[in-house]
Amino acid sequence: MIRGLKGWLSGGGHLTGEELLAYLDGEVPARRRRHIEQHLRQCWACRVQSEGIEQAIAQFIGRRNEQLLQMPSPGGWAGFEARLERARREAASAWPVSRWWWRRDLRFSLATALASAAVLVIWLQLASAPKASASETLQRAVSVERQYGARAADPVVYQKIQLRRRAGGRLATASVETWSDLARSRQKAAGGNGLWSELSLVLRKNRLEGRPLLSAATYDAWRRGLREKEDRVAPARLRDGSEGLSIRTVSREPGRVDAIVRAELILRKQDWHPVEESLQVQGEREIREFELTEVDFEVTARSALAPSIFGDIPQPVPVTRPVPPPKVRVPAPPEPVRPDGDETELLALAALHRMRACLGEPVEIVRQASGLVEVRGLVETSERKEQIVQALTAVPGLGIHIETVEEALRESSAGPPATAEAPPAAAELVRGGPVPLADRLKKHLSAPEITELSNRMVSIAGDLLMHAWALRRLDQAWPSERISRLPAPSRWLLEGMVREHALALRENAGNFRRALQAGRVKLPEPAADPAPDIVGAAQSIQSSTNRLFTGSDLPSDSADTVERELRALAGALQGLEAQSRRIEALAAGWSLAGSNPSHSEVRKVRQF
Amino acid sequence: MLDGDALRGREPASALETAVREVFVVWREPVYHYLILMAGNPADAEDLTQETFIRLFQEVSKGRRIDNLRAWLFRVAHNLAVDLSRKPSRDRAEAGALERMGEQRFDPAPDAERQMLERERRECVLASLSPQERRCMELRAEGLRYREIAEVLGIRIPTVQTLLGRAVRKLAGGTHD
Repeated sequence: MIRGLKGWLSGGGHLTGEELLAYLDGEVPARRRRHIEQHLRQCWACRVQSEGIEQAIAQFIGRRNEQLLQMPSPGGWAGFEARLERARREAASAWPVSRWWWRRDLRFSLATALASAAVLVIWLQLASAPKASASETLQRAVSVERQYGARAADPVVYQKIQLRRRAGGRLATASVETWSDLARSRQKAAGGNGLWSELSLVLRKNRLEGRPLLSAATYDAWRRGLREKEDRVAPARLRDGSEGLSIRTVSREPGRVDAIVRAELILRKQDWHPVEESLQVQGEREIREFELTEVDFEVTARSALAPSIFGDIPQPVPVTRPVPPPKVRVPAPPEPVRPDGDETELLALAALHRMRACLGEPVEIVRQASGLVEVRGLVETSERKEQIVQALTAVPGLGIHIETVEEALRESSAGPPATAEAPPAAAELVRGGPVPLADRLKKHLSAPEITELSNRMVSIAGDLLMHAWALRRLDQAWPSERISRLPAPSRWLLEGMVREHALALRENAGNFRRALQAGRVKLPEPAADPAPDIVGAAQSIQSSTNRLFTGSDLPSDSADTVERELRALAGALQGLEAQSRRIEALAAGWSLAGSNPSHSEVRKVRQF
Repeated sequence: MLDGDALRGREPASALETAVREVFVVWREPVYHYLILMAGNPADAEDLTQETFIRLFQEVSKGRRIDNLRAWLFRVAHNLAVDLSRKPSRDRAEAGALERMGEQRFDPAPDAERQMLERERRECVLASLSPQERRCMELRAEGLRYREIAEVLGIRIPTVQTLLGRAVRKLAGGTHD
């Protein structure tokens, strides 16, 4: 029994448990709140009861976290992109439907009804289809692929594949053409850029190099290599609406880095030809998902190709096909309509946020006099440039001007773009010099451990400052009046970014506290004056951290000066955590408040 | 408030799709946590989480106005989970090996007895909560305000307050209702 809860509904002027809980949850009106606060200052019993409630909540959260930890993480969110794509097409095709409907065009209504009936019939057929095992299904598809050799001497499989890769919430796309020489297990590819290189590496590490992509035989080779696995075969609907079969296999072996841990192959039911594939690959810390969609497919006799085959890439000469399959053509997406400037800017901002280019990298979004939104920036490497450009190309109507340092140096006039308020450079890490806290730390830690701890503290303080500056920049760029004009999806983007920075701040603040605890450094009661804003708090944390752990501006291990810095640190940490919670609540308010968020409410917590 | 009308004239494709994708990245974990604790099945939870965001895209595409994104997402997720739980168990059993895989991954260790005891201990405390109390607590743990919880579960705000109060009292070891 947690102390203090016996008198949950006690009388005698005490607060009820429900009322205390609502108070702790910030759910009582301001006037009542003041009354409760006054009562709590006077009443020990209610204070103890309030602590009991906090303990009960902490226990619940602890148990809940235990449960969540024991449950599997989601399997990489496979298939969401495909589902969204389907929904988008349905929505796009529904536009004329709705307009016609409003004109009460009976012919169209009838057509819609017939189409629905047809879909229902197909669904019923699929639902009643007999189930086959993954081995049987694959064997059948592999046997079809074996006919390539029977129909063309020395066959070369030509494939054009749309590649998508999702990792850590980022999406990259590319198109690749491959020629696979089946007899010699070799392959030539064109296009695909870095994405193809990445996939090739994965295929090599899984011993699938040189094999055709999107092939039942290749899939079967990977699947057979797994000692422990689980399969599922299910009906599937192809992008062109025709029937298909999906084979999903999950490896039950411990996933080493770059191993394919889960895959799905989708066969066209008409001719058992694979048209889509999804590969989930174990990364260092996350699952990467590759999605492959067939755009074109031909089987070509090698002798019919130019002699420079596998030297210069020739155009394939189609010779034969296994079965006359209807060629899979991915329908061209509808022409996107350019969103207005604010929306474009937010989409660009969200893409940069996802690439973590909002954390101090000299990349900025500018609005030209013509109204065109442009992203300009200077990055260190060509790989980084490619990453950022790739992320930004998904944003319609955006100008992109990203240079590497090398490129900028080549153009003598080029320099780093000016930013509204550039964050200061991160502090240098400690390299083993004396730290003012040394006397306290060396009671528990060795010299290398002290250096390691100091580096960690300085690093976390730097991260805190970067996220605080990112919030400040969002605050400056998006005043409440501007937010109120945004359509809801754009406000969601903004809310999401603010929320993630606020969460990162709190996580880093928690890490900071834990690291101090590891060094047995106890923070005193915080100083009375909280930092004025979130950047001020983060700067204060960084200054105190530098003084305490790098010795700058703090000449000796004077107990008074150390104590003063620790007190300032405690105050800044507390202020930063409180501010980040308020900011998160504000961002939620953008969605909660609807299209016209209350400006007074917004102003209350402006000035990040 | 979601301006479906404003988006209509411009075709939702690019801006809305990107926005939903970003919203998915930000909110999928909280929604998944709610669903996996409610449905108890990883495959179902993942599927329903994705479906929730697809519904978001579909509804906004149709011009639907959404006043409170967070409450809307959890309400749809909740309703999808309720619908699924009403399906005959035979249908759900056919969902296949992936579900069973999830269950196996949930309890993969050879030391099953120890795990069972641990789970019993944990569930003994949580089992004292009624389903509504548990849902209120889960939603509150995900940061929802009382009025949002009321919206998700289709109940009144004072009822949310009562359910949460009762749940906390039970967890603290007080009288069980």
